[in-house]
Amino acid sequence: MQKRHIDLFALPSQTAILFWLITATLLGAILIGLTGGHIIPLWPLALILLLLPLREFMIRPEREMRKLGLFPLPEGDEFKELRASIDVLAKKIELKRVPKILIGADCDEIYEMGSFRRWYIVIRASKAKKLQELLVNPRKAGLAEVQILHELFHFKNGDYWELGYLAELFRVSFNLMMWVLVFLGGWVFLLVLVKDAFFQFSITDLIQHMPVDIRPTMEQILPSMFPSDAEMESLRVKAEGINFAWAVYFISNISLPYIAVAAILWRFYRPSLWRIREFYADAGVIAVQKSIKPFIEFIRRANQVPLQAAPEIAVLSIREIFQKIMKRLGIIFTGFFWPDFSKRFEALIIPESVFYNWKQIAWFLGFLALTLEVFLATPLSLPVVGNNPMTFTTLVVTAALVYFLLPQIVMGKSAWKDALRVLLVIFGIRTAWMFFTLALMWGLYFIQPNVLMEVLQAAISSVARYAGNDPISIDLLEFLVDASVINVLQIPIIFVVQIVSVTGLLFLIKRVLQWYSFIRDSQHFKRIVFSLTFGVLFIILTLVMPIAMAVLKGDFSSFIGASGIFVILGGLTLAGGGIWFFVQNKKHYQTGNVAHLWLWVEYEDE
Amino acid sequence: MSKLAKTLNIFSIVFLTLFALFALLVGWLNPDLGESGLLLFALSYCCALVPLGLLSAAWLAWTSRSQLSRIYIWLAIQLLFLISISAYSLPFVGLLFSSILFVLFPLMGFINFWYAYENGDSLKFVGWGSIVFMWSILLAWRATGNLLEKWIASMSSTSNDLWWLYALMYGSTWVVVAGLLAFIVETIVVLRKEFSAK
Repeated sequence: MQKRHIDLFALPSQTAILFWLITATLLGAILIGLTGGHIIPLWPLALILLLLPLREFMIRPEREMRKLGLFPLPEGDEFKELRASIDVLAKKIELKRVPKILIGADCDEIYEMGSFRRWYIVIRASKAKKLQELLVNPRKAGLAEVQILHELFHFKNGDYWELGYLAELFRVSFNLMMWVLVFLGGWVFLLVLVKDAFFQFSITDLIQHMPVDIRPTMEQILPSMFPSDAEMESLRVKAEGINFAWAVYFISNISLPYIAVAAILWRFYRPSLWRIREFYADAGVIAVQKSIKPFIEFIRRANQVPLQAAPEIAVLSIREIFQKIMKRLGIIFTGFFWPDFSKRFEALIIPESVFYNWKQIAWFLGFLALTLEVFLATPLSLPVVGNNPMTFTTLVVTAALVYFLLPQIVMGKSAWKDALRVLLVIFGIRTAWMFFTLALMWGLYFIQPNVLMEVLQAAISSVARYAGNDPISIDLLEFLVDASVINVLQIPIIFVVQIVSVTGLLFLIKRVLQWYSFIRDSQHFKRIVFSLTFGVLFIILTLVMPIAMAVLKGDFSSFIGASGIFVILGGLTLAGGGIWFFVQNKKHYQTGNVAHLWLWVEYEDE
Repeated sequence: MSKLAKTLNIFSIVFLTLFALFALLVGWLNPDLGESGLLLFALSYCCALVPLGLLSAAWLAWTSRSQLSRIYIWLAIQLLFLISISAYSLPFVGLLFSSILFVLFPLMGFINFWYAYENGDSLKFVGWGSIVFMWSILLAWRATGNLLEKWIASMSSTSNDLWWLYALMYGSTWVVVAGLLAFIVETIVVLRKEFSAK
């Protein structure tokens, strides 16, 4: 019997939420770290980090083909049914293009990959034969279709580009930042080494050491190629003013935190993305087949037939040993989080089980906030750098929390309590971290004030992007009191901002769902949620946070000029949004429940 | 392979072998040539043997380019470049290796480019090449002292003490340049594939 289930595709996909959460965190970290004035201009690096992953994503299919020795499915009748089945099913689910089939001897059984416009389903040769055998048997063809549809839905759901782009973003970020660390570090070390010799260098000496017959020519050419004496003197004065130790510290400060953030996201957040996308692909299969039976049969057979073990290799080459280690690491990092069939089955019977509960959301966002604050802004740096990292974390947490709680609102449950719980956990984590570092600072002040002074000087230099030799004069006690007051007060201010914005957004979405004949379909609903969230984030960024921080510091001078224009824009957005909401609410609101048919899907689940 | 290509292959191999033997022989004989003889020798050597050697080697590199994407072949060529730089001032073999260097140096660009392009290693080339360049100078300076002084001193002497540094610097520069070129070509090719895909 057909039963009604919530349609996972009617709501913003959890895969997309996680993807944007991870991507926004990584790219936000890049922009915070690399833009603005620096000792070394770093904006080209930011540009490379934004563009290179796109290029690498497009080149990914070629790389995979080369690495795994993949080749197109041979033409002819041998795999006629397999090819036809992919073609028919892709058209049935209205894919924009039909993926091509690639065969490999030593690849995973079946998976999808691709770039923006080139899509591929990769199948191990032995698996392709099995699928073909199933497809030619009308009684068993459904089993093969389950597997093919599952892969096709990874295209339909956008997993191929989300996961592909993210993998490249991580790879490029990590490699590029390691390069920055090693190359720029080497460059600064070299400057330290050659500085004195360079300024003692004389062209006359150089010419004197040259063979006699070429000296007259060189006397004419060389002076124009080297800096003049006046230029050398000016360079020398400039170099004397640079503290190279701080320059090295600065380079490690812009690259290491980013590497750490990327590593944490890769290790702890990316596997969740891999896990959740499988549930969505399964949901797609069932939505097409209108029954869970073929899927259950597929699970039963998959559990009966163990995966074929790889043949033992007697003598391993270095490459094979390396591949084996990487594969093992891959199992540890990703396979561990792969959903087992019982979970996948449960997600089809009760689709709500795919959504995160408040504890999972709190863990997700709390750890993310802590990571960002530990690596992008420390309590030492906040009083001098401004509050950008804190604002960034606030925006990321607000948007992600609202999206994670959306299923509850849609299903008519109250989400206020869960929002409060999650924000309290984040508040607790932030407070604990803040007090820990402040305690460390005060402890050092009483035990080793000299060490604290050095640490502070380094932190201030790095944050202020200053690498001069002039010592920074600060009153240690005054600095500590200021840092403690500002940082401790920031925590409740941000907590209040988040409570107001999250509850406000949840209220707006709930009310929109009660507007009669307003939401046309799921796509319209997603657009409305996105616009509301984006609008609220814009208001927090341009209006709420600047005013909150100005009140905290008692300094309103920053509102004169460009910042003032942003505050006005934020105010106008708030006023415009408010008027729109008031008018629409008057027109559409009615008490009682509005039935949203687009929220449900029917299929047999027995 | 066409008959012409086969003929050119055989000609190039024979020519390069004879060229190497000739350079070795001249170096071994160490002839004491007069000024006019030296000029004649230089003209014939530079205008005929080296350009023809370069053409022959370039032809062979092109026809066997599929082999150039193998790591062992690529490493062997890098090693030959290293040996040529270290040995070009030695008696007997100096002339041979300086001739090889004349031919090999411009070819290194193509060899590196092809390897990077075929293996999709353009970014690795740019990244590692620049690191090797920077750190070879840094470590050389740290280990041997003021390199500027040594470089100036080497101009008026016949010693080739800094051969390893030159090899690393020139080699890594070629690697970076070829990596950048391969990166650009690879990007154009992939963009074309992407936009022409249905």
